[in-house]
Amino acid sequence: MNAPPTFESFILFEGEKKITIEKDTKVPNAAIFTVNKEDHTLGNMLRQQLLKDPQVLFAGYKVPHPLEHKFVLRVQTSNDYSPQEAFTNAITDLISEVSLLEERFKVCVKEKQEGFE
Amino acid sequence: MIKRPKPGENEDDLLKLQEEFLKNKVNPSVTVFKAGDKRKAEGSRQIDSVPEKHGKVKRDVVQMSAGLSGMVPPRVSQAQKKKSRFKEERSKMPDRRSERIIIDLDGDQDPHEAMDAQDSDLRSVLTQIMERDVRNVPVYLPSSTTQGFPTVLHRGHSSSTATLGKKKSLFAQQVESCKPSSFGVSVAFPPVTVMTLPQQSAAVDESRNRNESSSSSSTSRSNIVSGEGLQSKPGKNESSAIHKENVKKIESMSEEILEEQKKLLSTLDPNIVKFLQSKKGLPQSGAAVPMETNQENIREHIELSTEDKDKTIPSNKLLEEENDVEASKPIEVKEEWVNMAEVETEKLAWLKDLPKPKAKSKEGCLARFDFNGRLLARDADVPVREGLHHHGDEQEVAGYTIEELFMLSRSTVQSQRVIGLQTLARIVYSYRIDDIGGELQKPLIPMLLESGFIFLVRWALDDSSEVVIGAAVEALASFLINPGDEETLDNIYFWSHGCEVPCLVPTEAEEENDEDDEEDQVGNKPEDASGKPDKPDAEVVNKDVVMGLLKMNVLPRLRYILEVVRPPAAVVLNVLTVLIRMARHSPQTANEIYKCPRLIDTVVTLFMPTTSWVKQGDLVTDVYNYPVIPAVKLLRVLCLTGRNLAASLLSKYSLVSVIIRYISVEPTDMQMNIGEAYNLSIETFRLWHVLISYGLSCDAFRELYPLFMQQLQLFQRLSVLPLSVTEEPATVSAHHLQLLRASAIFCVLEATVNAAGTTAHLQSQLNRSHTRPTDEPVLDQVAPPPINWSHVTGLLGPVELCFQKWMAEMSRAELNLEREAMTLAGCCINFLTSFYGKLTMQTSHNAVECLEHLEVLITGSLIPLMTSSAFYSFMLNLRNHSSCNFKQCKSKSSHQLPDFGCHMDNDQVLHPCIQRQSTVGIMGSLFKLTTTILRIHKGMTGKFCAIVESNHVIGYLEKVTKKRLTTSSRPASWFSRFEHHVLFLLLKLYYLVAQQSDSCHQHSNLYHSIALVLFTSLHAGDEHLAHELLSTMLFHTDFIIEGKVGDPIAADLADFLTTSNTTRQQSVSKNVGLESQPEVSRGELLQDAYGSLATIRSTYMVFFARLEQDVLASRARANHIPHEIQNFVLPAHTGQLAPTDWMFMPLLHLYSETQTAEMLGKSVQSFPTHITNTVINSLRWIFIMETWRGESLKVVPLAAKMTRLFCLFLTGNDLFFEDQVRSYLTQLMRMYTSPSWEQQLDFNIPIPGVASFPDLYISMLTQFAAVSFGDHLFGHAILLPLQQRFSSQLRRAVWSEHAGVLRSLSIPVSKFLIPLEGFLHPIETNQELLSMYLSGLSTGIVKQTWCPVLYLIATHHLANYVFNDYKGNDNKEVVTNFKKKIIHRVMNMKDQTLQNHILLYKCVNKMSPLGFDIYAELPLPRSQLLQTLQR
Repeated sequence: MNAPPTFESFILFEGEKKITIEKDTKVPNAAIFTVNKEDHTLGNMLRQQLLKDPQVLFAGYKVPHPLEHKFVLRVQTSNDYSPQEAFTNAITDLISEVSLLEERFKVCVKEKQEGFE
Repeated sequence: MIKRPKPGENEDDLLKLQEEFLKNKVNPSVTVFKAGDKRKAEGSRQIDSVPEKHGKVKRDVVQMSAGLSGMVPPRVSQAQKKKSRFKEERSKMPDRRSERIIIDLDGDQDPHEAMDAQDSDLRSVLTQIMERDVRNVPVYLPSSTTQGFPTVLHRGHSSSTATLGKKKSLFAQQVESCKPSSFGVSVAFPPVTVMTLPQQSAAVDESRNRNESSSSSSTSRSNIVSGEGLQSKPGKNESSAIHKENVKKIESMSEEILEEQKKLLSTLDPNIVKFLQSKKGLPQSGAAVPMETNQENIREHIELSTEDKDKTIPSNKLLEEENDVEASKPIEVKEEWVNMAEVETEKLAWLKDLPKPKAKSKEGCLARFDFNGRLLARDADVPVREGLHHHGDEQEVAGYTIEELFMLSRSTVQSQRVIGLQTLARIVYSYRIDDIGGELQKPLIPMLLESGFIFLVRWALDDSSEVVIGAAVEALASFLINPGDEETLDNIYFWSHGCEVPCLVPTEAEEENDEDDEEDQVGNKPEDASGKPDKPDAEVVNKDVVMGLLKMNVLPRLRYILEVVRPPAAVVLNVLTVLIRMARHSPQTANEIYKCPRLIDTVVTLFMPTTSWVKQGDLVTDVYNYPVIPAVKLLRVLCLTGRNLAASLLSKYSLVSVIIRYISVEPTDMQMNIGEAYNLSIETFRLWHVLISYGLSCDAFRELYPLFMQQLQLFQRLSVLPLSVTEEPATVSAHHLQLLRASAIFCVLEATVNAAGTTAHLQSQLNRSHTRPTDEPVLDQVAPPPINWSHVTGLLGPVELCFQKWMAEMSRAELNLEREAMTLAGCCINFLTSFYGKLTMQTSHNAVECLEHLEVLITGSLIPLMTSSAFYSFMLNLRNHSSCNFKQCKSKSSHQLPDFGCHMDNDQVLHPCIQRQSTVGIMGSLFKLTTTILRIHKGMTGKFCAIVESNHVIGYLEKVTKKRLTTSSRPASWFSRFEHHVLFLLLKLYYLVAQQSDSCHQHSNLYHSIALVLFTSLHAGDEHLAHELLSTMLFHTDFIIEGKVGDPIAADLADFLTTSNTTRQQSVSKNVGLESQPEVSRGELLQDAYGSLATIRSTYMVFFARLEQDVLASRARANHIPHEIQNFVLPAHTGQLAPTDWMFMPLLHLYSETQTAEMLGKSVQSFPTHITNTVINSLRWIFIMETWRGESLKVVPLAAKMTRLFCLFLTGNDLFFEDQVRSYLTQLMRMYTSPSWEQQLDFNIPIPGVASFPDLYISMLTQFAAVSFGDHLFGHAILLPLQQRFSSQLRRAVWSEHAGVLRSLSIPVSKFLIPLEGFLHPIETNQELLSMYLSGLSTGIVKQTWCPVLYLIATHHLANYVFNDYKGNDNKEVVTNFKKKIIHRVMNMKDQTLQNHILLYKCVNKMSPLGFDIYAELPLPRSQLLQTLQR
């Protein structure tokens, strides 16, 4: 009856930004990224990637409410490194990792198909 | 196919059909042919083959022992079909009868021939009739058995094997093994008829032999001729034939046999004879031997069985005893009695005395009661004439069980019913007053409730008989009313606030209610119990007895009983007390009583007459048209429950005229028994007091003013000193009544003063609202009472004279005062308190005059008293009667029917505050007066400094802080309210004094602790006290002087001294950012907290603001503001108002608020400053409390405190980053984790207020992983529950599911506050957890740089597990295997440092950068172990 429309979980509304960055006032070198219309899938992946970075001191995310399609990612880095940098690095690394995965997957599929023929 | 006949066909057709049929020669569908008689054949074969054996029975042929053969009817001819004995008989009887008829018909025939012609069967029987020689045959009579039926045979244990290979049926085997007695046939030893003649003896032998042979030879097989060599059946037949022949031969030469036998025996070798006999099985001649043994067995068996039964059923014992004492006949039969020549002892048995009942075992037996409701000992020697013996299960035991009484109460015989109900009533009554004379295993009241006592009584109330109704009312009254309660409440009525009583609503039931029907949570008041008509009566009674009774329409019935049945006095009194108890239940019930048609009318018109009445003797027998005290009391209790009810009762029944009628006459002039007259007068004063307290019916005061003045003159002659012991008891009780009446009058006067005191105020309000234009709505304007201050000013003079006299007397008193005297003095003091309290509000108030007057009062009366030794003995008494001493005895009542558990005679079980000697009441009054006066005349406070500092007061207070006040939700503990008042007034006195003088500040700690104790033990109804404590005392610097005298600095100094020893590291950690703010020292924090006491106070005031309504109501009652008082009934007593951990409440509240907000989808970003301030203030207060009032917080378990602090981390995302929150939290955590505290911490036990600690911990973990930024403070909170002594569930959660937190727990070992011991010892032996540690380390989730503490912990446990001797319960082999596995994994690690750390781990060292020391190289034992393990 009052179920939210299904597209709410992935379509950005007008005026909504995909990512907002906010500097944490209480902790130095820390930032809060709010990513809209995403959920644990990306949140967890990003966090794991960020934690691989030795210069990241802290990375944690939280989905404030299960019906609100966004997650809040908190990143803190060491002095000579900014959270934004860490964030972009993590994203690029993730993208390359995923595309590598895709590439390999395709190759495997191809080999398999050729093997059949 | 042959047609079948059709309807309409006649006989010819049928014949034709038959012809046709015969012609066709069709085979009939059914052919009849005679089958050979199977049974006969079988039977004969059996008979042939069954071996002869005495006492043994073969298949189907149930044969008794040989001696019994005479009883078996002679066997009919072989040809006759074998039938069972009974069948035979049955079939014979009708045959004969029919035969006889036939014979009659053809009379000319010879009967014998006729018989032959008619019945071949019969003929065969009759022809063979042969007279037997029965001279020697013993006769066996069936013995009387102990049982009505033969015992059932149980098959199954047939151990005997078929002797001769012939398979026997189970039944046959069974019968074989049984003795004849089993069939209800007892075999008396055969009377041996001694035959002297040899001829005869030979005949005996012969006959015996014949008997044997006849019974056995034909049935037995030869033992000698076995026919074994022969082939199958013919062979067997052959052998049997030979055997038969032999037998026949032996039979024919019976006489020769004996001689031959003798000859043979003499010639033969005895051994051979023996052998042959043994071959035969049993010696032939020993026929009687088994019989003998049998009989012995039987006798034994019978005896045994009777013994067995003795143990179970005593009645059997009786039988036996009867037999034993057969000789002693129950009565001596005299000769002149007719028809008593032959004494039949059996029939006279009932005349005998019952045997003595045996005392049963210690475990207890059914309780039996006498008619007075007292327990009867089982073996009590009660004469049967008492009527306590009856036809119950145990006739010999005197008394009735509850069950039997229930049965009697349901009887249709009126007298039985009355006895039943009355006895039950008395049982309950004596149980309630502890006079039952024994112990019951289960509480009686709930048991009766469960078994439907209420329904029984309610049903009995509907009886038409007056006697039954009387008994039922008695039962109901005794069940509902705890006898001591009303008396106690009456006693404390005259104390200040003594008329305020909590309603007796079952509280637990209410909670259940809420749980049960959560859907219809419209109103959670108990009234909805009555509003649900669909609930069955039983359910309502189960929750609330009074409600159940209301639902069962008990009120109209009671009204009917009073109005129409007009029972005797006792019943009327019972009805009235029942009504009083119901009115005490709750305002709702009181209203029901009021609304019940004609009920109150009946009570007022019949039992409160204003006309004259007939004087009756000492025992009032007819209470109709006679003043009845409980009736007045009922009205008073009804009035207490509500202002509106009181007003409507007043106007409807013209109570004022009743009151005037009863009080204007001196008790001595009433047409009544003097004691009753006094009581009536007192009760009427009480009723009036209630009415005036509401500000109602004040005009009567003006009429009676002369009377009061006259009485006051008289009171000056009264003395509060106890009468001399030589006085007559009657005089003493008269004196007591006089004192009580005087107290009642003082109470009424006090209420009048209170009413008059508000008049001016109300009048001015009224005028204002009149003069003002109607633009603003007129508020609920109360008309001022018709008396004003000028009416009461005249009272002060005489009262003060009384006061001075009594104060002087009290300060002189050496003995303890009597309760009545103390009550009187208390009432007098209360009057003055009220008077001075209201005086300052009057326009006529003259300040100077008043102050001078007060000075005289204080110096003249108060100070002398309060410095006298009597006052100290009062104080001592208070200490002894403090509610700390209250030991709650076992509850007698059930939760459906709460009571105060008071006891009339036994002072010891009472709540200490209301015991006879208790001075709580008068002390309350005294301190109230003192504080009231001091508020008016502040200049005199210095004089009371001595009292505040007095040793007795301090001693009392110390006791209270040490033992704390006992509080429970039981109604009995409500009485400690009076002590609360005393404590509060003492605090107030201190508060007033401390403002003036500094010397008493040394006790501020004590007084503050008292305030804290008091705050957590106040009950509902004293909300204004809680409010005042909060607003003035708890946060007042006079109570917390530590801040003034330099404690904060001292704390700093102490910290510095302790930490300087251990080389305090102020160095900045790697995470510079997080630790950038230097840690705030304790002293600074204390200073800060102390400075902000005012804001702390406002925080808590706001938090407790939700109680505002209650505060106003209770303040109206406390300050006697008549027009604001709505009722005098306090809410049901449910325990304390504020929880013991009230300082944490704002934190918890905030936490739950944010949780609900987040659940609703509102994200909590950051908190407004006022919320942060609330948190900070709470923390400040907790910090102050922990530092300076640690004792007061001891009652809260440390784990509970911890979890409440944990809630702060879970509230919002960054509340714990607030500077001040952080610094207080840090200090608190530091304090709680210090070694002395830390040992008390226990997360394993259930924590009050936390449903499940693991769940809370897991939410902490997720919160930490999401928002913490690896905060060290938060990290400490996460690590704290991971100690070895707490549940491993928590550790597992961290290492497996929530391993994400491990990356951020970056507290360096050197900065770790919690003692490491708890984490490292004992060594972990849980293999699952160890492998988690290992995989955590090897996968790099836990690294030395990121998570040093856990890295240390994991390494420590792994190294110690592998290299140290393991002392656990697990199998050694399993352990070794597991060690091997670990070593294998460690040796294969790529990370060389990690490998080294595990292998070379030495011990913890907080100072080293790693957090632990390592060996330079692998020690020898380890390398050896490694090698053995790796092999």
